[in-house]
Amino acid sequence: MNKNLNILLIEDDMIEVMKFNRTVAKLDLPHKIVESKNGKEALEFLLKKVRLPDIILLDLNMPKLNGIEFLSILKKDETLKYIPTIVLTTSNNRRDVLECYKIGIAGYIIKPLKFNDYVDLIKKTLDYWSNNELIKG
Amino acid sequence: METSYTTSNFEKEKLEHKKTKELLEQKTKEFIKVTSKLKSSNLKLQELLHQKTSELEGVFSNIVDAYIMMDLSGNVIKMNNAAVEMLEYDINKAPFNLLKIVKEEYVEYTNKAFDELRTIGFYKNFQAFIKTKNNKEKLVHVNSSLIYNDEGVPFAAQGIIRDITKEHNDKDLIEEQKEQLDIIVNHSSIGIALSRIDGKGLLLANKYLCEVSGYTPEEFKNVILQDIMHKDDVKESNRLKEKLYKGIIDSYNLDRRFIKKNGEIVWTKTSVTAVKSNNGYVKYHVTTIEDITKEKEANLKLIEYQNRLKTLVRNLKSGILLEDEFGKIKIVNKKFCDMFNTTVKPCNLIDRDVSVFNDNAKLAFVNVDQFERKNAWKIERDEQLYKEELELVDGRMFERNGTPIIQDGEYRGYLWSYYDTTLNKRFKDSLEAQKEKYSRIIANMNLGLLEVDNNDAILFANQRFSEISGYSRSELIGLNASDLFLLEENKDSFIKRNKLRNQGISDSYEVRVKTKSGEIRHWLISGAPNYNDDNELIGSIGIHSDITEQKKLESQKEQLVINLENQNQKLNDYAHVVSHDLKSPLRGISALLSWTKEDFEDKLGEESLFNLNLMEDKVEKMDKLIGDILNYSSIENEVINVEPVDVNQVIDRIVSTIFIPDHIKVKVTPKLPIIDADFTRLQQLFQNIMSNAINYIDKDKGLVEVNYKNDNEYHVFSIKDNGPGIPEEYHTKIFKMFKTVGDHDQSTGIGLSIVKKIIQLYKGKVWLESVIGEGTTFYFSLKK
Repeated sequence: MNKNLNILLIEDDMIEVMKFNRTVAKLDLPHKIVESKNGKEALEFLLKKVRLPDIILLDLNMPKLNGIEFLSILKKDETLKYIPTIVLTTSNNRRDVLECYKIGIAGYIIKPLKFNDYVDLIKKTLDYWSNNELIKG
Repeated sequence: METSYTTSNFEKEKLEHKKTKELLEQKTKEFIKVTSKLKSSNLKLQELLHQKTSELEGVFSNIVDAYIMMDLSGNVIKMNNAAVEMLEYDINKAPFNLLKIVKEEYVEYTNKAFDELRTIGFYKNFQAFIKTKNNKEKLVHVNSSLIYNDEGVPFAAQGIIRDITKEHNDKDLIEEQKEQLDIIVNHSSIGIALSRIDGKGLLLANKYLCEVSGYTPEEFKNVILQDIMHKDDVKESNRLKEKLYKGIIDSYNLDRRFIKKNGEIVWTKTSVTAVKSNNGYVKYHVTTIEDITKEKEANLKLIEYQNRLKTLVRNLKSGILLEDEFGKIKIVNKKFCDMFNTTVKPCNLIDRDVSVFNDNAKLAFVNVDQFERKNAWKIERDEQLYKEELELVDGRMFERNGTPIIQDGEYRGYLWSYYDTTLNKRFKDSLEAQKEKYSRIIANMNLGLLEVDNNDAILFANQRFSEISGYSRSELIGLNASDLFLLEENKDSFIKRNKLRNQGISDSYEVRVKTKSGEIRHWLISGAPNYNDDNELIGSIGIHSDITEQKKLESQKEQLVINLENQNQKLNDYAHVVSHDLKSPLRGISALLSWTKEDFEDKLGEESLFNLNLMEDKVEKMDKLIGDILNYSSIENEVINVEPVDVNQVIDRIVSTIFIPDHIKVKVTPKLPIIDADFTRLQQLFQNIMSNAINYIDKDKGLVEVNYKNDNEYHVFSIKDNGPGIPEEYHTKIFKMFKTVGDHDQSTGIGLSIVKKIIQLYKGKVWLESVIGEGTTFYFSLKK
């Protein structure tokens, strides 16, 4: 019953984007990925309210609009606030974790160092979300 | 009847008539004979009467008593000289009627007496007042009788008159006197009894005696006073009575009790006087009895009062001595003797000369002259002496008071009282010293002291207050403290505080004030209500300290703390950013390495592959190092949650998190405590030590033991391993940053630094025991 997910990946690091795409390709997953280089770009895309993603994977440390700022704006939007957002970051700063959960996130995943561990983690995460009931459209 | 006479009767009658005639003639002859005899004897009698009458006349005219003859109407016919003398009327000179000289009120009585005289023939004991010719009133007594003529017909009356005026008057006087005496006796306010010496019963008991005793005069006729006397008084009474009867004494006085009829006791003062007959024997005795019950009661009360007074004096805390006007000791109590260290008992001092006592006593005093009052002041006998202080050689202090005893303006003695004031004096001295001490402290202390009355007017200010306020002390007195110093903004709250103060509540508060120079200063004021000796609120006392400088420092400090917190936060954020920025390229490198190996697996030579693996390891170690540094730096920066943490759960978490090879066993003491700490910190703490233990174990069968000991204020944990052991020179070094002992791949040299930092956070210690080749035990304590 796996669903195909529309995923918005907000990530400024090129290699991280490569890692994600390679992982999805390696696992041969059917999900559709939209990339954004930072929060500002992502927000511009989202506010068009066209082809909204099912889930958002969000990095925290980004130039221009960082992850937490983006999240705050997202959660204030009457439509966008329903999109589950999973933080995908290298930072385990406790303050960030608390702040994110306070604003409202659907998960907080620390990027592991090793690529194999990363693949494993992304597989589990996407499997989990593809099994979830999602708000379509 | 005569017509019925018959002839035969006639003859008979004739005969009888003849006989009667003859008898009559005989009798007549006899009668004449007798009559003639009688005639002669009558003559003789007449002669005799005449003779006797003239004899009588001679007697009457010559008798001492007044004699009067009168006709039946009271007209005097004859009177003798005595009668003339008495009545001053003389029948030989002028006729008078006796009835006329009787006093008017006796006329009727006299007429009746005459009637009786005329009927019966005599009247005795007639008494009436008459008036003599010269108008003198006389009471006369008359015995009278009728005088008859030869035919036996009364024709006159005669009487003997006696003048009883004097006799009558004497009798009246006696009666009157007796009556008066009775009145006196009966109305007397003392009881009077007359009794016969041998007889029972009282001859007389007056009204008062009856009232006092409750007996009636009739009852007293059968009672002698001894019968109703109190039994305790009978003996003495009898003794005196005996003496009285024997004539040894003529009278005696005695206070004795009588039992009233109703059983009550009456105290009486009785006086018994013997009444002697002409021959010198005691015939009666008169007892006068005075009810003195009230006096007796008063007397008893007086005695009781005196006793009480004596007891009081005896037990007084003051030494008391009373001397009389002759300088003799009359009263002295034990305390007095004790104070003067006299071994003589108080009772033995009575009636001794006070000067003799003083001669000994004076030696005890420092100033003998003062004690004797020789120089300074000689006791004027009517002068009071008030609270004179006397110092004794032995260091004691006496206070002396003296009061003259004046009775009816006469000096009757002097009352001395001594009070040992040594303790009081010492107390007072020490109090003075204390007071002075505190005054000095108040004057010199570094706190401003201000005393105000209920209207906040300044009563007192010390030197320091003057310094901090800028006003001189004399300037301050009388000014209103709140008007002077308070800023408008504070006045309302100050008024509220004053109300609290009035309810007796003390408090401390900070307030901004204006000094004389207009400078705004911060004062800390501690105010307390001030009461007088009668516990009435009379104002308040405030301690003022100028805390302006402290205030400045405080606000500086507050600012510093805020700055520091900001800095810390920034630093923390910086550490995370740096860590992220450092880690990101590592992740990139790691991923690229991984893909290179994956994509070119076949083309890479074995050596290249080894190098790539080595690169991966170094990247991994670098990543761990960055993570550890971040952990270390965030220990004191992050907020610590203090909550009950079950250490067993912490260990369970660690055991399930870290990699534990199969040959190593972790043994945990079953009873780890629940302590107040932060879960994450505890986990970091235990995990670092336990990881070290696990990582370095070189034995085939590894064992890590976690133990706990409760040591008063500390929780002491220990983690024991059977690893290679740590040389002693490293025991302190290992806790320093980046120092490692072994050569383990994962070792960054930060773990134990984190351990030490956390332990310091919980005010504990960390130390270790180690034997090379056998193992190491890490101990650490955490303060509860």
